[in-house]
Amino acid sequence: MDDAIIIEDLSFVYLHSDIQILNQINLSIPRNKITALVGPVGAGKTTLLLTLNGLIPTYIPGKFSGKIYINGMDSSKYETEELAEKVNFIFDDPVLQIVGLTVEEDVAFGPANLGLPRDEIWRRVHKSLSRMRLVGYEKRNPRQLSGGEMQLLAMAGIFAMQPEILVMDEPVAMLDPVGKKMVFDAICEINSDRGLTTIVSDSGADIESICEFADHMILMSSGKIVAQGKPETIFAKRDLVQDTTLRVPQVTKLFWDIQLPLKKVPVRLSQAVDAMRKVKISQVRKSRKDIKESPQIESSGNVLVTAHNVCYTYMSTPPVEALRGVDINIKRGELVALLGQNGSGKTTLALHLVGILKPSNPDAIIEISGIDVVKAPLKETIQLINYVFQNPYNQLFNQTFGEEVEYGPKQMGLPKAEIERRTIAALDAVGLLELRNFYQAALTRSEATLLGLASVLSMDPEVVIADEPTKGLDEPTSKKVLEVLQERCKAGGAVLMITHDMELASRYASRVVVMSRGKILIDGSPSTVFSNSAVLEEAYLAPPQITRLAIELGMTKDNFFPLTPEEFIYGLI
Amino acid sequence: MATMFEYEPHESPIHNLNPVTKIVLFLSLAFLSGLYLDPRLKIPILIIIVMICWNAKLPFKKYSGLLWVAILAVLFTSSFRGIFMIKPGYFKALPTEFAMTELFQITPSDFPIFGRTAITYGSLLWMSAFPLTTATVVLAMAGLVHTTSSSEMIQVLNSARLPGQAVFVIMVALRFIPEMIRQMETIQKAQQLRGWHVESRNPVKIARGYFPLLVPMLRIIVESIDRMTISTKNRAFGLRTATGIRDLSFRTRDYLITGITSELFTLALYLLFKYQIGNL
Repeated sequence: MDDAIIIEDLSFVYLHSDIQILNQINLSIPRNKITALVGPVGAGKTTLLLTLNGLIPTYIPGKFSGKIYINGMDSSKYETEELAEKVNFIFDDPVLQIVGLTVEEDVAFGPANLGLPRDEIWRRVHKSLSRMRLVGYEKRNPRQLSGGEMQLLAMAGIFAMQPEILVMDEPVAMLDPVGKKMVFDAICEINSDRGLTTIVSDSGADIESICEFADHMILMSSGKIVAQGKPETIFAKRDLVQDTTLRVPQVTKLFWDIQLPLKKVPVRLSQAVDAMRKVKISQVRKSRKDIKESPQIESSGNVLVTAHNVCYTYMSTPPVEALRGVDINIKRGELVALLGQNGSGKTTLALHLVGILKPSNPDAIIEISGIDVVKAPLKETIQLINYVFQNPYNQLFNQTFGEEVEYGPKQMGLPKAEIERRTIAALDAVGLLELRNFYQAALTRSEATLLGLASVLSMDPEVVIADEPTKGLDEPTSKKVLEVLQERCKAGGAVLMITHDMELASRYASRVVVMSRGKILIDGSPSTVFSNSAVLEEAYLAPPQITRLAIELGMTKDNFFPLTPEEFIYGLI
Repeated sequence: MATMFEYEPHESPIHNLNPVTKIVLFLSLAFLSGLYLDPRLKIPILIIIVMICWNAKLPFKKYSGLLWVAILAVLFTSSFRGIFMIKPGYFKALPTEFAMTELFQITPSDFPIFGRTAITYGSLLWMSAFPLTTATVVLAMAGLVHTTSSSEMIQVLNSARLPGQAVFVIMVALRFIPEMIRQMETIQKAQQLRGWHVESRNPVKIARGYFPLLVPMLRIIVESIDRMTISTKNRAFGLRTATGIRDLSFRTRDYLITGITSELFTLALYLLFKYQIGNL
């Protein structure tokens, strides 16, 4: 096989660190294929990718050894901007990748730096914007785009440079399911047009999308390559994959649980459909653990949040009508998942509920436990409803974990004893009690997320809004966060969780609300929502993979819409 | 809506000018306002800048906070100097009798350390000049950035043969400053939700009160500078001279405005240095 990239004996330690983040890596990346680089958070995936275009060690110093050959060229002999003609990188966070002050300017930036003729630059700009569904946005300020749209813009800018090798670090984390598919379709289209070697990293959050498109997979853990080959072959090694704590596709989990002796385990929906059609029900055995339906939290009935006819327009150029008469209630005990495509108004609605934004129309009603959020001052409403931001670093500023969690209750003017009680309870809930007196200096992403959550829990609001609470987290930490939020609901509170993760929503939410273009399309139980394919399609969403498997197999005729592998097997047997 | 010091495309006559014309126009007005000491000439310059910015649809409301803070800070420092300007030698252009006419005394001559301080017509004119310059310069810079996209600015700087590193710094600033302002707004909202507020009038307590905003901000600034540097290199910035993506040829109105501005500026300088017109 002709290899686009060859890596020999690559090792790397960051400056001022003792951790061998890359440890004698030897691998080759096949040309014109999509290679998935997967592994848990902290495995070294991003570090490995940053070596491919010379950013490590040129701009990110450390102890570097080994060789990297890009299309036969020794990368150590070239500057990053020279390698940029061959290799381009797309980061997970789009905000700081975007350089231009309008959409079209940003896409033109890369081709202009390559010194291309003006006509060619604009031809590539228009083609890229068309591919990324951004036609009509040319004159917009990129900051007016939603997070997902910004990521599409970042990709458009890179695609316009027409690289031979595309390196993407968790690029679809912020995209809705249709956006994810669109990005990979674009990659496949470019690949078939002119060939494109693509490497995509993932920590598990988008493993299902990745597996649908990857030709080749590399599994990393603790700075080493654990396995490489076709995804089906890698996921057949159940113990190996489970040791890395990497999340697996639902269809893979299904086949693991029904324990059929297979050399290759399905990782794609189409493979699972084919495999399931050959399975005899008598062959399906229960796993060692009892398979049962996922428990759902029951609501106690009191309405905590009432929002009626909420409208909001962002006064940008052109104005953007983000909310168009939204009505929503949230009851005590509910964990509501708020889903929708990028730009549907989810975060705007959440910021209204918490009182940061005020509706554009005077007849809008937003009440939390009877308090009018539109009129009440923030210091009154924050004790009723609070917000866990997607980026916890926007809030963290104290020296120690304990001081951070104490801050909110202190600002509320609570007595010392109560502050102490709440601090201990909040840290304990997220599993950080032993780190109470530790300094925050070198927080991991997981610790930062849990600390951000604890600092809101210590204020003991009745309603918690969590914006993408599991973004960038590994599987165990994601599970921890969701369990904490579920406990909150069981204790009589309520949670509104904004997420793109259908599996998460189906497993943990008692209710799902889908938004599109500033309106609520559907509001109901997970099974009600995920069984309504017409509405999901309108909202550019798709049900969990296991539900789609049941639909493909024609198992949903009797209103059977499994949301988890466990439910699927329960329904089968 | 654009935040402070951020480009926003509009179909305004100012937006449609060549970036060189805009640079000449805004910088000439700002520079002249800085050179003049007489507020009676600064006021018309400020009015011209305001009218230009209004035509360009600058979001004045976004700048009101900054302008108030800057003007008050400058007024405080200039006032502290101005109350000592009670001797005739300070004013070269104003008639001495007029300049020394005392409006009110602040401290008598036997006041310890400071001695006699007072506000005169001369010192009043002098003190009011600096806030006017501050407002003019802020609005001029705001107007220039608001009406000129980064690609146009880079194109002009490249054609002026500025070193690549200097172009890079300016480009990052154009992108970075509005981003940091937005981040500050997000951090402020996030901390307000945790009960953050600053109510004290004690300056030390006020400064300490902003700590919850500054720490996350500094962290973000450091990370952002790193990431932005990497992002631009990743897109081949500095590989070779970038192609200008816009057609920046001069049109008739550009020649007209640049010519008139340059001539008026030269005339103003001549009158200032030759006849002290604009001096106090």
